[in-house]
Amino acid sequence: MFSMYHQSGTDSSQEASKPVTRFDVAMDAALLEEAQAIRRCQAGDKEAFRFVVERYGNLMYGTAYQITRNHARAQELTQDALVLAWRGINSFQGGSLKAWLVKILTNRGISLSRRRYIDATTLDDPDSPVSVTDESQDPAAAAISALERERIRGALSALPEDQRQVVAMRFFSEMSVSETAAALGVREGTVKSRLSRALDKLRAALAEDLR
Amino acid sequence: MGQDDLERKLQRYFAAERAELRAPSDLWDVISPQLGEQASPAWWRRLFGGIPQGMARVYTAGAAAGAAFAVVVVGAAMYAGVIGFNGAGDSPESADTATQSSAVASTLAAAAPVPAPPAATAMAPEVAALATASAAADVPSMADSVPRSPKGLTLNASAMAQAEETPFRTEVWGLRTGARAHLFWISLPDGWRSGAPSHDGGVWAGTFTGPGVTLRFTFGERETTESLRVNIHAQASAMQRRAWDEYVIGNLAFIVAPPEDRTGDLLMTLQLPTGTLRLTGEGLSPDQQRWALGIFRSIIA
Repeated sequence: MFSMYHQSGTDSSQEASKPVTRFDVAMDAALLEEAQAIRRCQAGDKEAFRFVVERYGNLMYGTAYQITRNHARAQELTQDALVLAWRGINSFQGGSLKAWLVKILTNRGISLSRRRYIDATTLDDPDSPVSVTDESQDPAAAAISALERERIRGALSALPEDQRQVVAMRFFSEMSVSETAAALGVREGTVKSRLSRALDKLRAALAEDLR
Repeated sequence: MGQDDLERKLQRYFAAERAELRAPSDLWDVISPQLGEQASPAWWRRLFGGIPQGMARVYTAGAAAGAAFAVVVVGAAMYAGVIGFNGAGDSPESADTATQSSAVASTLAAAAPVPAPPAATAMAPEVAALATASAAADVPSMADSVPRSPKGLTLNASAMAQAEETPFRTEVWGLRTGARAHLFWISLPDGWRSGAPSHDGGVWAGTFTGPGVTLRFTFGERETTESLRVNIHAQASAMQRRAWDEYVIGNLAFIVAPPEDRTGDLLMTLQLPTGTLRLTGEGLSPDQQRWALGIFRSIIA
C-alpha cells in the first residue's frame, strides 16, 4: 500500500501532519530517461526527439512492414508517423509511449491504405526478410526454418487486415491486449475476438500446409 | 496444432522478423528536417487533461457558468463601489478575495441544503479557517448579494459513474491561510465530508471521507516539477502501475493508478503556484478511483 511522501520541512513529531510514509522504490532508468525525453520534446527540443526515434524507430519500422509488407512503403509510413508524433507530442498524456507511437503508425497506415496500400496487403516485397535471412548468423532466425517462416508469412498475408494488425501488435510489437485496444481505438474484447479468429485461421492454414 | 504450439511458432516467427527488420540507418537524418512546428495542445486539453470527453463537456459547462457568475459578481462589486458600499471596510485585497470566494461558492455550491461545516480542530494560527460552502458566508457579505441559481450547479457524473446518472452535487471546501488568501478550493460529492486539517512546518494534511472511502491530502511547499515527475514515474514503474501527466486548471498534475479496472492505490499530485497538493486513496475500487479523480480535477486555485 502506498501513501504520501515525506515532505521536507515537516516536523516528524507532529503525527497528525506527518506525511504517512516515504516511498522507497527503485528507479527505472529507462522509463525515467524516456519521461525526460518526452518532456524535452514537449518543450520543443528536437534533439530530444532523436532519442525517441532511436529507441522506437526499429519497432515502428517493423510494425509498418507488418502492415504494408513492403520496405519502401514501411519506410515512408514510419517517417510519416514519426513526423506526426513530433507535431502531436503535446497531446501525449503519459502511459505507454510505444502504444501511442504504434497508434499513430496504425492510423496513418489505415489512412494511406485507403488510398494506395490496399493492393500491397497481399503483395509481399520480394526483398522481404525471408529472402535475405542468413540463419547461420542470426539465432532468432535460426530458431525457425525458412520454410516454416514462408508458411507463416503466407498464412498471415491471407488474414483480413484487422486481424493481421492485431497479430502483429501482439506478437511483433509485443503490446498487451489493453495497449493494442488503445492503439486501434477498439475495446479489449474486440482485440481478443479478432486475435482468437486470427489464430483459428492461422492454425487451420498451417495445418493444411502440413498435409 | 495446439494453441500453445501455434503461439510459440508465432513468437519464433516474429522474433526472427524483429531481428531482421531494421529501420534505415539514416532515419533521423531523413525526418529531422521535416519536424517543423509542434501543435499546441487544445485549450480544453490544457484545462481538463485526461478527463473523458463527456466530463470535459460537463466541466466546460461548469466553467462557463462560473465565468458568467463571476461577471455578475464583478459587476455587482463595481456597482457597490460606485454607490459607496464597501463591504464593511475591507481592504481592496480582501474584497478581491471575497469576490473570488463568493463566486466560487455561488457557482459550485449546490443550492440544495448546504452541509454544516466540519468542526475545526486547533490549528496553527496562520490557518484561519476551514471553509465549506456555508463557511464562505464568513467572507464579506458579497456572497449574500449574489443571486444563487435555483438549482445550483450540479456536475453530472455519469461519465464517472459509467452511465449511471448520479448527480455530482458538491460542497465547496477550501483551505485558506487567512482572510486574505486561500490555497485551493475543491468540490466534494454529496455525502462526503472533510476532516479538519492539521498544519505543521508549512505542510497541511487532512482527509476527505465518502461512502467507504477515505482520501488523504497534503498540501505543502512546491517541489520542482522535474523531481516530482521523476519520482512519480519511477514509482509507477516499480509498482507496475499506470502513470500519466495531465493539466488540471492549467497546472501540471501527475497521477499513479492501478492497472485499468483493478482495485488499488491512487496517487494524484498537482503543482500549484502556492504549493504541491497530494491526494491519495488506498484500496480504491475502479468506481471509487473515478470519484477520487473527479474530486481531484475539481480543484480551483
